[in-house]
Amino acid sequence: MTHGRLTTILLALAASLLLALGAAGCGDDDDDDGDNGGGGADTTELDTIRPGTLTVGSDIPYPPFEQGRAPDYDGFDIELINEIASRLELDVQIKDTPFDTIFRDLAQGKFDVVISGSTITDERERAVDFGDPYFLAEQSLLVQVDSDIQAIDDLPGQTVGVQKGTTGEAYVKEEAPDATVRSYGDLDDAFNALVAGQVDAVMFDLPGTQEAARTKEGLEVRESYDTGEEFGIAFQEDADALREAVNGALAEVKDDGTFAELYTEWFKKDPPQEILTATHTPD
Amino acid sequence: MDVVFEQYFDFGLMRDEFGFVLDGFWQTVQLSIISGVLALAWGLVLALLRQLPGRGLAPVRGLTIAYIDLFRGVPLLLVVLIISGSFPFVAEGLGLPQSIGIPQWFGKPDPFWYGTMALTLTYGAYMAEVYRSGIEGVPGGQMEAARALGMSHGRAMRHVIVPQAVRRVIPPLLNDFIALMKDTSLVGVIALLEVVEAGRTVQAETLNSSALTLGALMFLVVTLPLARIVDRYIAREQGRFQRGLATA
Repeated sequence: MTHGRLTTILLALAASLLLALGAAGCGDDDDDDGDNGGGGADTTELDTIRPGTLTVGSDIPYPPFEQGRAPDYDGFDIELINEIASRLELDVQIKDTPFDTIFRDLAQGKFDVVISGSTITDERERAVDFGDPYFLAEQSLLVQVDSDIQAIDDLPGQTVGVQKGTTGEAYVKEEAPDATVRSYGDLDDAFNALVAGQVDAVMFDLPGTQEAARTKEGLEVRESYDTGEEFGIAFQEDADALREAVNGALAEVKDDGTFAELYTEWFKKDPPQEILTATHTPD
Repeated sequence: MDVVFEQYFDFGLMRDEFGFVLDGFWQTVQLSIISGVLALAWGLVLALLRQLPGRGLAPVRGLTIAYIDLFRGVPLLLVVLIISGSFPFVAEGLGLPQSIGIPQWFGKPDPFWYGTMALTLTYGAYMAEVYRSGIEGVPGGQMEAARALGMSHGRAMRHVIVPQAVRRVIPPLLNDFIALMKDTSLVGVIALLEVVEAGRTVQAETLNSSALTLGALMFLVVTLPLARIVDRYIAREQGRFQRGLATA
């Protein structure tokens, strides 16, 4: 190959690279920019990544907490965070992100907060801080309708699907150590594997399994386990001002009845009294 | 920078989780060897089908080319997802028992076998093209001479052409095998606990990514020697060629 030919090829490659980068820069990001009340005057003290905007990380979908496609995400968590942000006069930007690295990403500063149907746990609080609880959850066992599995005691020797990094995964590994655990990155893959018969059961939060039983063929929630889990909004460890502001806004939302409205809309029942008054102090 | 070392090079964590990640790596190795051997065999079959002479066998050649185009043209990840998602239902629809639709053969879970199928189907296509370049690289005179001696196409292939063809393409075949071995990590998406998934499980539980680094090191322990073997093989063949011992 002559020098001339080689130069032409290299130039062509460089040009394609620049074109591709340019096209990527022009395209829309896969994010939701909420449109609730513009950036307020004194939001800079909250030290958000982008002034006037609350950058929210969430693993979508987890119906009924977060679902839908950008930019029209909805769900209990989404509406709650939109409500909280509007009290703080912040816009909302939702970033869909995988659950198994979501707390690490928060700790590294990719988001201001994480709201993703996530339980407050000591392990997670080693890297992040949680605010006040906003939901009481239980673990539950989802099986095919005609399954022989009746209880958690029937799990040894069976294959249980879970979502990677969830308390359901930890629960089944703890309570049924002789079961084979199959851990999926995407929640929906675990449910679909159950429908296909590739796993014998799925261990996951009760609202999630109920939703799966409602929307997918032939599944039913066999048992639930009162683990006393509370969902909370997660923050970076030194973000005390933001956490307190969000806690304050959440308390407002609970006090003025908006919380009860949202809860009833998404879960078809009244919120339990404990959640309306529950607080949490990170260690 | 300290954070990077702490997040990715926590040797204490690597030591604690070594057994778990190694178990995952053993899955990787098993999947690589089984799929690799099957892909090498299937690739050769495809290459030979593509070479079949005569107008009557044109449909066979055509289908083979279509197959190779399809599996070289679709990402392996899609093949993994489609096979895993559809196989139980397709098998059920065809009236096959669940032991086929959700294979648990030899104690290996179904994602292992879906992964094997996907890797064999896809890498068989890549290797078929490698074999083809080897076969077409054998001088035409060899086939003519073989036919002149009264050998049929099949015998000529088996005794004269293919042995020469395969010898010349061992380096690219080995390179494809190394690529296959790394691509086994894609099967993690259907929850096979291979080395990358094992690393990600530790990462999710400990919020530290050192198990991923450990997995990478385990890969290198295998792929580096393989790469050196390929290099030595090429050097040896070059030497033989230059001394006039190998065919052009």
